[in-house]
This record gives sequence, C-alpha cells and structure tokens, in this order.
Amino acid sequence: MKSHHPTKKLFVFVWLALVMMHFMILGSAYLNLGFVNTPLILVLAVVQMLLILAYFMEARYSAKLIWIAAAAGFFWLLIQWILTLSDYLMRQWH
Amino acid sequence: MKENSIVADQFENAQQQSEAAHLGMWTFIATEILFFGGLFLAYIVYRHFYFTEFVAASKHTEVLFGTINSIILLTSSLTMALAVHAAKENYRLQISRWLALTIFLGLAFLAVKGLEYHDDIENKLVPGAHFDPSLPAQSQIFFWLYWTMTGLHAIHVTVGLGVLSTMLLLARKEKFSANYNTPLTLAGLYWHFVDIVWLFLFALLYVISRHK
Repeated sequence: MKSHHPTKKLFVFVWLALVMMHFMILGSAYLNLGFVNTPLILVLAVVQMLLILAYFMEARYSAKLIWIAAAAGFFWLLIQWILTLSDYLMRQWH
Repeated sequence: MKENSIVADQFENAQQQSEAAHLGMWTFIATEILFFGGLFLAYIVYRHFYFTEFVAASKHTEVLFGTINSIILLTSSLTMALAVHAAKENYRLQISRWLALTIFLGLAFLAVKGLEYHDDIENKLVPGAHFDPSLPAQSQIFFWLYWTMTGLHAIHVTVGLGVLSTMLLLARKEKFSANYNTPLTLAGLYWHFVDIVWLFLFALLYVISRHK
C-alpha cells in the first residue's frame, strides 16, 4: 500500500483543474449549446469526480481490493437506477 | 512496531490493519453513494415527468452562492489532501495547520449555505402553503429535492467537521506520523466524498437548466 503517493505539486495541479472545470460548467450554463448543454455539464462533473477519486482519495495508488469496494458502490448505484428507470421512463401514458 | 501503531489481536501487522480499515471506509462510502443515489434518482424521475417546471424552478437557485461554495469545498479538499500528505511525509506541525484550514473552509461553506437558505426563505422557495405563487405548482417538487439534498449534504459537512475537529485534537497530540495516519486518511476519504456529492448538487440544482 505504501508504494508511492501523489506529491504536493500534483495535488495543487488537480485542484487547479477542478476549479477550471467548475468555471467551464458555470460558463457553459449561460451559453445555449442546444442538446450539448446537459451532457457537457454532466461529463465535466464526472471528470471532476474521477479526479477527486483518483488523486485526493488516492484510489489510483490503492490496493485492488479498494478498487473493487469503490467500484461496487457505483455498480449497485447502476442497478438501483437502471431497474427504477426501466419502469418510470417507459410509462408512455404519462 | 513504532509508538502509536498498536496492532489489534486479529491483525498480522500494521499494514493489514490499515488495509482492513480502508476497506471498511470504502464500504461505508459505497452505502453513502446509494444513500444519495436514491435522491439523485428521484431527481431524474421527476425532472423527466415535470421538465418545464424543473427548468422554471432551477432558475431560482442562487448561482453566486453555489459557485462560492463549490470553490470553498474544492479548496477544502485540497487542504485535506495536504494534511494527509503532511502526515505521510512526517511534517507533524503542518498536519494541524492544514486541518485547521480545512475546518475553517467547512465552516465557511455552512455560513454561505445559511445565507443562501435565508434568501431562499425570503424568496418563498419553501414548498407548502407559502410557496411563490408565480411558479408552477410542480416546481415545489424541485424545491423539495433542493432542500432535502442540500440539507442532507450540510448535515454530512457538519458531521465531517466533527470528525475533522477530533483529528485536529489528535494531530495536536502528535498522534499521526508517516507510520500511523489511518484515522486521518479515512477522515479525508469521507471529506472528499462529501465534496463529490456537492459537485453533482451544483450541476443539477444550480446550472443544468439555466440556459433554457
């Protein structure tokens, strides 16, 4: 587990990327990009999440077991969402 | 074995003990993902059914407060990561400094959120009898989600502040070092998770429908 962990410089760099992406999200919210607006904001938020997971939470430097535990959370989330949405999104009469 | 790294009977060594603790924390975070996941799911379903009402409602959240709080939380994640980094590098004095700064930023987040809630109440954005009559009725569902999700998030920040304060006390007693920093690292994992939840709250409640 103690192989290597990120440097101070890398943390600051990740923070800068996160803040930059925040302003990209904010800026894009005021531009009408048609159908691109929603996916763009969501993709940027997911990239922000992945950066935090990988570097601040050091998942990138963690044991495989930790990867599995972290992935399991998202996997169950996927099940929760897919099963529920497969009902609600198909209620055509609504 | 170094001081402070007492290994419990059931573990072979300090590394195994630390890995077990990490696994426990990540498992807890997985349950937290599902906890907030249910609310995000409710958001998706209701946004699908009442799209125009959600668009109308989401223009009434205060982007300025949301942005200030996003920067505050992202920065607090950096200072938290630096506190853990300081422990791993054995810079004991720096641990307390970064932790204190993280706690300060967490308090600032709650203060800004409080100001925002005050404005929201003034602007009649609380669902119920006194809800802003100029907004469509179903936009109350958006604001029900807004209050519930940001409220639960604020509770998580408050719990995090309690945990971080405990870590600060331990750090001041020089409990953490390169050899032993598991509680501090796990507290960091929780704090970063709370930051991640906010990223999606900001995206979905403040900006996603603003251009329409």
